[in-house]
Amino acid sequence: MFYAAAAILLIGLATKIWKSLRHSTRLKASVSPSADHPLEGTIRLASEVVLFRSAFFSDRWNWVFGTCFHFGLLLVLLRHLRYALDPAWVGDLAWAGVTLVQPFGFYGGLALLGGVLGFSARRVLFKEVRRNTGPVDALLLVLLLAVPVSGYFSGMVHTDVVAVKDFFIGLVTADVKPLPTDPLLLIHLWLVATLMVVLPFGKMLHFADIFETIAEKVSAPSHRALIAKRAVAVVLVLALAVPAVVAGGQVLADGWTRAQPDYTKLIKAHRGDDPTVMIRNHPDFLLHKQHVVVYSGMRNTDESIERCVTCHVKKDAGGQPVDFENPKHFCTECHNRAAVTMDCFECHNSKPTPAGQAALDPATRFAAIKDFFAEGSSLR
Amino acid sequence: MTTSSVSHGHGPAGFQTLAGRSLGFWALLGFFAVFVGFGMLSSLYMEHNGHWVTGMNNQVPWGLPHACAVFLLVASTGALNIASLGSVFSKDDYKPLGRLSALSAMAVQAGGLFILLLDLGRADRLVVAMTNYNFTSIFCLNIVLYNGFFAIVTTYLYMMMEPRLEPFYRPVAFSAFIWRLAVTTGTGSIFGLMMSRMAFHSAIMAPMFIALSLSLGLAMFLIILAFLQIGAGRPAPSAQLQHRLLVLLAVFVAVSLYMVVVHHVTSFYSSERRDFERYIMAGDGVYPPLLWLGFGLLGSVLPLLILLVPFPAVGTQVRLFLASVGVVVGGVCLMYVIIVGGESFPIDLFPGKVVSSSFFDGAVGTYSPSVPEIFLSFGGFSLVGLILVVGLWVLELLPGRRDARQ
Amino acid sequence: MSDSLDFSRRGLLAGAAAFAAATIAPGVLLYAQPAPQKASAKSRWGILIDVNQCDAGCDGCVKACADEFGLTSFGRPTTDPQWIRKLTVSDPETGNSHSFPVMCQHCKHPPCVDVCPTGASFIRADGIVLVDRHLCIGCRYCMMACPYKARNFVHENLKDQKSYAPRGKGTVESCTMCVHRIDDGRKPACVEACSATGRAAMLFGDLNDPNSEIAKRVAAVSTTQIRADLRTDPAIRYQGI
Repeated sequence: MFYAAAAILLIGLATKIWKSLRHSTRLKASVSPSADHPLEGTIRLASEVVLFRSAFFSDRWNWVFGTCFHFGLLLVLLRHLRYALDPAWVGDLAWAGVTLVQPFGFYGGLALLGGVLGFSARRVLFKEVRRNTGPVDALLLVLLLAVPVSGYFSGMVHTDVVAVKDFFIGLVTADVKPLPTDPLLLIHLWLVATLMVVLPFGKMLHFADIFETIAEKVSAPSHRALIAKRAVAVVLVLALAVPAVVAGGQVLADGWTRAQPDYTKLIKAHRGDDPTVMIRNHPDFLLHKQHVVVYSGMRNTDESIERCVTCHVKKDAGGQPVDFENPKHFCTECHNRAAVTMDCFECHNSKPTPAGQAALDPATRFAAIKDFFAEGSSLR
Repeated sequence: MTTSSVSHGHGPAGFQTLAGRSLGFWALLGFFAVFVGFGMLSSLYMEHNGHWVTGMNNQVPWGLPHACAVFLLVASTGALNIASLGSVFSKDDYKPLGRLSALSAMAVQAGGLFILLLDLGRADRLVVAMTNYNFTSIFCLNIVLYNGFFAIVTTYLYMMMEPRLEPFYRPVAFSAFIWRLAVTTGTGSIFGLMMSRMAFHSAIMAPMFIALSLSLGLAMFLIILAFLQIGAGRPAPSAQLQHRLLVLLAVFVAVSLYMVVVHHVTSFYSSERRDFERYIMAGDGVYPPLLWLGFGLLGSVLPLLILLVPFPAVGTQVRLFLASVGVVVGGVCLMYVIIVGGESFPIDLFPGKVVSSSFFDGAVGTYSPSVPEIFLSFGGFSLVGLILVVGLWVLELLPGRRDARQ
Repeated sequence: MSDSLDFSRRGLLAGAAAFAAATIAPGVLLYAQPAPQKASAKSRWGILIDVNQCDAGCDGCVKACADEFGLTSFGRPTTDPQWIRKLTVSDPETGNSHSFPVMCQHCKHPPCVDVCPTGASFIRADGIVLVDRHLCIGCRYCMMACPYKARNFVHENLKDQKSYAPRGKGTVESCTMCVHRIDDGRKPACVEACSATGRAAMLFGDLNDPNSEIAKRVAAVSTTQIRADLRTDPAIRYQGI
């Protein structure tokens, strides 16, 4: 499905650019006719593309929401790079950049939502804009609202991001892996695909217009072409609507329980047959335990970080446990791959204590989780 | 062509942006940007290696960055004064400068917060600070107050610029004025409410900081105006306005000096705090010179003389500028004395007895600013400049009509 | 044309509303769980220090604390951590001199808790004042506010922390009265070390329990708190000052 959606998006984008190129008599962009100096013209063009300069001086609310939306979108897209790229492809420094951007992406999403809500309000409240609003505009706004909201929801149910990442990397390397079946994740991905399909129709992808001159009048497309375009859009959206209803029903059935396991059973559960339970819930579990220990004084070494790093110890060539700065460390390995920062070990010890290590000899550790310690397993 | 003759000046015809074409403009922008960058790099260095690379330690946890940050935070609310005089107190002469005053207030506050937040031991936990509130803490209330200040002043500035919103403008202006008083009270109360040290815990701290905000804020604003005049070729304010500003600054400086004097005299009067006052006013170390020469002479007496004594050859503008520079320098010195001087005096665990320990009990805390701290502090001041330069470049805040090629 | 578009749009919106409601409702119900309690206000842990028994030359308590928490010196005394120190107090007029340990006084009305902006500095139900390092932003306001200069700031990167006492760069810390030991039913390291020297100048116990040794002793002899005039009501009491 994604291949199809991506293809439609790219073809639609290319069509738009080709059309606007065809309608322009000059290839040189002149957003501001009175630029005296080529450098100044370049700066004006750059500030138009990056900061939407002309909107700032003409329709300021449009500029506010547009800037909010686009910069939010930029941060969100940078954050999503962790699904599209493999650390091995881009090198450590670039990956460190991707990791650094993650928390900003979260707030970028809020800015994005703010921009969309602003645009929606603008369409409702400003008379001239309301008159110019068509059904495709409304659909686009709803999609632009639904995509980030569903994205946040799929995060709230603690989707296994590493599995999602493996799926998308698999799409690129033609080695397709299974996708987690969280209904909210599926809804989010379906909405994104829908958006990709709908984008070329209507007013979006308007950066292609930069290739036109302002002075040139664009000849209107023929009425038949317009109806044909809209019909295609309707058919595509309808075809994708059926899975939406199905998925919605699945969510009602599944409920919220997958994200909120019983913490008292979590330790036992993660030694069972579903390792993703711990992957998805370990931050909440650890923070819950921290709260209980620090505020109520109920300590249980078996449920402490010490126990985690004792069981999940990795040793270097000399047989010594590695600490979190070593990429082989159990926590670091996965966190690196998922581009998630981890500051636990600024304060907590990332290596087992000698006493802890002695208490958990291999026989004890391996007895409960035989299969996961098979030769060559990644301990996931 | 004077600016005060412009009417209420809300329409776009009455305000303009900086042209932003001259080499000087770009040089200044570059200068500020570079030093903001250095400030951020210093913070990264401090955060990466730990605070042992600074001069701050377990005895003196707050140093030069905090003195500069508190100075900027206090001055920021005062920089809004001119706008308040125009809107709340209906002094028409000040109205054209109202927009610039609002931007200055936000720029100076941003500079202060830049220093404060980048010096935190865990600056990456800013979100934690914004989502976990302990309302018995004046620091926490300040977070609310500072954010509110940005929101209110942004709205206030927008109101000033949008002619359609004129009818709603006065309530917002009034709220901005009240809020600004609350913010300064909050900043002063950081020290006024602290009962641990003899330097602090005084009811006069909050009013003293309000008085200081008036003088420091106006001084910062006048320096900004002077730079715009010299650098951007802005027309001078009218002679009448200049004279009013002179009197205003003199009054504010006098009131601030009064508050500080009363504070120290009261403190000295109590036998409990006399040792501390002797230390601050007459001890060894850097604090007595900073207090007497820095704040007393450079920051109060000299500016008063410059402003009020009728030197015939010296123009009002020169007086205003020199006095403002003195006041600003004096203000930083005073903040340093209050904060660092206050912390460095040993806590009196056993009044009347002599204490000593391996943890420096009974000993005067040693502190000297380190290079990262100096860069961080200067970075805060540079951020003020950067925001002002960029803000004036994109928004129509400067009073008057644009002539050809300024 | 517009009808069919309206239908799909409505379908989308209805679906969105439905799953939003379905997902939020159970979460609201599941989050309202009270925390389990062990530390309770029934106890108030305190330490009684008999200054007359304390020897000026002994720093067993200081060494024990440093060992227990891994407080290593970096060779920079002004920034090195020290949670407990031996204070030497002399009267300039009479020449009399005492030495005794001073640490976080675990006040009942702690100024450090009042001034912490995030609530990281908090007082537990049983009277122990702690820093929740997950919330600490390292502003050091509590260090300014403490009348006993008990708080330390971690100025360096740390490694090999004790697993029961995580501590890290950029946060503030102080004596925890060995809360990890207390929760286990043991005594603070300094108290144990003092008993080991034979001098037994430090006595730990539950001030609220009338049958505990410490409660009986503070009822029997005259004890003071440091800077009692500040009314912070510390849990650390001194006998013989």
